[in-house]
Formats: sequence, structure tokens, C-alpha cells
Amino acid sequence: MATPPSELRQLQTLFYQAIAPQPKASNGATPSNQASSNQDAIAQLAAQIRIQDKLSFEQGLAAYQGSVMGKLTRALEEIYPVCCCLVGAEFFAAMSRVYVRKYSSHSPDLGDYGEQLPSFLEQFEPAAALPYLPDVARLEWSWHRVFNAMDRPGLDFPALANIPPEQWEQIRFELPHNSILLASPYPIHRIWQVNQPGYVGSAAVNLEQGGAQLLIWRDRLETRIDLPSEADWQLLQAFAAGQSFGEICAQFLNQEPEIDVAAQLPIWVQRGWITGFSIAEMADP
Amino acid sequence: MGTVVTSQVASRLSQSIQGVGIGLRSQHYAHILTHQPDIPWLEALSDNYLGGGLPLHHLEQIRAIYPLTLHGVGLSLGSVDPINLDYLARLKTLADRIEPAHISDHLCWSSVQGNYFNDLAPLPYTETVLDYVAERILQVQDFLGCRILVENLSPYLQFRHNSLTEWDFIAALLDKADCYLLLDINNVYVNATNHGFDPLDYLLAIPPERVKEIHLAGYEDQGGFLFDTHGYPVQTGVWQLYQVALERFGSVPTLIEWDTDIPAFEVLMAEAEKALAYWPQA
Amino acid sequence: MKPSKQAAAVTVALSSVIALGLQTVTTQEALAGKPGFEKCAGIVKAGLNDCGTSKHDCSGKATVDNDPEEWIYVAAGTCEKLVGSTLKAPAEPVEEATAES
Repeated sequence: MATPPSELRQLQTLFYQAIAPQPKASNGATPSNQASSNQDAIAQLAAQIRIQDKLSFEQGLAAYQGSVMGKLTRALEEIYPVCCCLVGAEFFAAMSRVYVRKYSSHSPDLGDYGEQLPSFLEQFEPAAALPYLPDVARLEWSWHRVFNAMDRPGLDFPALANIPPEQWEQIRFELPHNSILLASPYPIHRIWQVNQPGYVGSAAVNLEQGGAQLLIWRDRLETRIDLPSEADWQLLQAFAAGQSFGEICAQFLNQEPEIDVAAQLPIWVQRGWITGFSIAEMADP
Repeated sequence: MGTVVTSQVASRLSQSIQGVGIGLRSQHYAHILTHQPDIPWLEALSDNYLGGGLPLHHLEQIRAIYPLTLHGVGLSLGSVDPINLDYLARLKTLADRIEPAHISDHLCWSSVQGNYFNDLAPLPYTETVLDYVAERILQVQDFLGCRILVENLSPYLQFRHNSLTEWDFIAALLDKADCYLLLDINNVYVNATNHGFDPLDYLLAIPPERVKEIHLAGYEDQGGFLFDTHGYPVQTGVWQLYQVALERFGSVPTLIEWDTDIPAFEVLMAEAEKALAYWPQA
Repeated sequence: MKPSKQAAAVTVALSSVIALGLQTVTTQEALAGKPGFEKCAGIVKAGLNDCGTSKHDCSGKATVDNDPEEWIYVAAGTCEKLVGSTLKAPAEPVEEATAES
């Protein structure tokens, strides 16, 4: 592996400090410790830059600072279009800039940026009047991840048929790869739905209609937001927790006897909710 | 570390492109799949297909109709961070599925200490950096099993301690890393304007046999200096420079790129036709 | 609960699933069990990565940090669609910097 020249390391660290979006303090000024490191970096970088007639150091620096901010805020806008609708483009843009100053990107793919926006929104005072906003953001992030997830093959029936019946209780069934279970006290699915481009129908959402329990997953090429029944929801959580099928049957026979797990399993398989399995280790030999 | 292109890989990449292609953007998937417009090839931004899912599905549908090249922004070839092997592996997986005519990225760095700024930052042009970047390109080519193309960018800052010009740096790098050049004519023009040099000096320094693709895009004039926004038609000065480039490098496959305020596909087709008009008549 | 009841449930479930593998019909019951919102397979999301310079307020300003800082507020817009007691009046304009404290 190539060894990086030390002067290149220093230069790149300096360059990054100079162009990375800087957090701001409560009085609107850059916090003094960050300000000094950022201003130091800018001053040190300036000393290493060749003076140009056409393009000043300040203009060149601003080009990079603006481009980084622009790319990261645009990524948020593309990933969270419903949140953007709910708060308005101007609010969203300003909020994005606060977010970008707080969270740096750690991936070459901009599609990986913005995962902390839901929790950020919970703490973001100007959005406090929209208590459902963080959960809408969670739904949008889930949808984005599921939409872009790698295709996986469905349930391998021949392999399943080869499992000897004495091991059936130890089978751990798997929900679709990258599927997400999301619960909210707000009707976030309705908020999401009425804010989709091309949505027709009543655009009113009653926030008192109750919460939502959602399964976000992909059925081959189709990204879906399903509304499982209460029984399905309980079962989905048991499957998601990685319990063996024997344990799940025992638990529901004990606690929720009205839920017929044995009858549900083949229905789930047909729905596409079960796409893989593994064999759990025996608890006691 | 070897630089040998194995025969197996050579055959995988044997798909050839010619003429003037267009940068594939998601806004145009439907148009392209429905109308199958008469374009010789398309270039996909690798980074948008590394996850899979629907984007990759669309790309495979398009690949069934058109030859493709893969163009990336995430290799961070000049970074002091180790090459991101996860990214590289996903790029190889994508290349195995798409079978591109070739794979390219930029002569730049975009991350340090694991922090990405998802933009293209310039390198200092020194002998030390040249050796370092050449070794990194060799590592990438070794992994991918093919030569890659590196693209010149529009740096808005230049380093005081540069001991080489950008064109001499690139010419030496192409030789040292045994890689190819994706020559962005718009960037040469923007760069020459912003940093005050003669673009002809640049073109004359580049070895013609290493130029495997040309990019054309529209800059934005900021009054005195230029920005490489890819948001406008190709400007007059760039067309003139393109003509000079064709005379020097021959009929190199050329791509129209548009990334900001992306227009209707017909607008890109018209730009491609305009570019083709500069080609010598067959 | 008797262990035999659990074993019976497992056996019934697995036998049914394995039998499914031998046929390809999808029952109406399974389809009927899929309430939800779908986006058709043709939906297109914009690719996020590109190689142009993004021109976010970079038109010659010294630094982004010196922007005349934006005032932000909750735009009424879409929120009017939402009814119910949980929705409060839009927040007073708040300076971005204040928001972060």
C-alpha cells in the first residue's frame, strides 16, 4: 500500500478544516475554539495558495465551501421531500445548513448522508410545533434505504424442504433484507401519502386518528409501506427479534392464543414477508 | 503490484464506444427506455448504483440497449486515507454486472481521516505526490483488473509549492500509472481562464494515445472567473478548444455532461449533434 | 401450555410452507393481507452523486459562515392539510443560530 507523503497529509487536513461547514454557537457567531481552528486553518491554507489575478483565495475557498454545503443540503432535500413539504423549502434549507454544520459525511455516496436527521429534528427547537416531523423523517429515511437496497433472492424452498422435521422448531425465519418496522404515535403514513407527487384524494390528515405501525420493505422492485394488523405487528416483532420458530409458537400459544401462528406463516411466505431462514443452535443438548 | 490487463478482463471490457454520448441522469430514464433515442453510448455515475435496488434495475434495462461507461466521484485517488476497499469492491461488482466500456474517476481527493466532503479537491503537483497517486492508481487497476481513466478537474485553488504544471503532472502520471486520460475540455478551459495559462500548452503536453474519452459541459461565468457547474450549454470558447483537441487527439469518444438544472433530453441530443459536427467527415 | 401443542403448530406451519414451495399459486388471502401504500416499480429517485461544482451561495462571498444568516420559520403551506389538536400555530421566526442552542 502506498505511503502518503506527510506534507500531503498536513495539507489535506488543513484544506478540510478550512472548507468543512462549521457549527455555530448560540449567539450566531462561530464558537470561539472552532472559530480559531477554522480561522487558523484558513490563514495557514492561504499561505500555501498561489495568488491569481482572476480568482482570489477567498473566491476559491468560497467555491469549495459553497459546493460542499450545496451537495450535502441537496442530498437531504432529495432524501426528505415530505419533510421539506411540511416545513416549506425555506425552513428546510435553513434547517439543513444547521444539520450539515453539525454532521459531517463519512461516505463517498451522498445517499448515505442524513441518517441522523430524525433524531436531530427531535432536538431542533424551531420544529417543536411539528411533533410528528421526526417520525415522518424516520419513514422517509427507511423508504430511501429500502428503495436503494440490494436485491436479494426470495425464500429457498428446496433448502427449507431439506431441513429434517426434528429441527423445524429451531428455524429462525428472516424478514426481507433491509425491511424496517416503524411505529409512531402519529399517522405518519397518511402524512407521507398526501404529500406524494401525484397523490389524488382528500389531502386532509387528522392528527388525532391515531398512530401507525408500519412495515417498510421491498417486494422485488416495489418499495412498499404496509400497515400490518395488530396480530401481524406482534408477530413481525417476534420474527425481527430473531426468535426461533418454536419459541415464537410457544410464546403466542401462551400469551396470545387467538393469534394462529401456524396459519399465518404460509400466508406471510406468500406475501413475501419471509425471505430467508437459518437454524438456531440447540439451547440444551 | 502489477499493471497487467489480463486477457479475461480485456475481453470483458472489449465493448467499445464511439461517437458522442450523453451523461445518463435519472430524470431521463423513462425517455430513454421509451423512445430509445439514437445515441451511441451513455455514461452512468457509478456512485449512484453501488447500492443496487431500483437504480441498478434501471441501469441494467438501459444497458440492455446501449453501451455504457462508468464514471465515478468517490475513489478519492489522491487522498492520504487508504483506498476505500469497500467502495472499490462494490465498484467491481457493479462493473461485473454492467460490463462498461471503461471505468473512470477524477484526479483529485475527496476525503481525509474518514470525513468526506463529496466534492473534488485539487492536489499539489509535485514529484512526491505524483509517485504517491501513481501507486494508488496502480492499486485500483490491479484490483479492478483493468486500466482506468482519470479526469482532469477545475481546481479553484492552486498550491504555491507546485513544482510541475498540471499538464506535465498529468502526462507523467499517465505514463507512471499506465492509465488513461478522460480529458475534460471544459475543465481545461475553465482552468486556463481562472489560473491564466494558454490551454494549447495543456493540450500539446498530453500524449494522444492516452486520451480515451473527452468531456464537454457548460461552465458558469461569475464575472472574471468561471465555475464548472455543468448547468449550461457548452460555451463558445470550449467548442473552439474542442476542435483543437479533435485535431490533436483524433475522433475520441466524447460525452455531453449536464448536472445542474438538467434540461430535456432533446437539449442534450442537440448538444451531442453539435459536437459531432466538429468531427472530420467520414 | 403443553409442549405437544407447540410442536403441532410448528409441524402444521412448516408442512404448509413446504407445500407452498411445490406450487406457485398465490391465494387471495395472502394478497388481501397486504393493505398499504405502494409506489409503482417505475418510480425514479434522483441520483445524488454528480461531478459538477455545486453553486450553493458561493458567488464570490468570502465564506459561507459570513452569510447574512437566514431567518427560518414554519411555513404554513402543507401544514394546513393537517387537522387536530396536536398542531400548534407556526413558530415565531427564529434565528437559525438561536435554534441550535
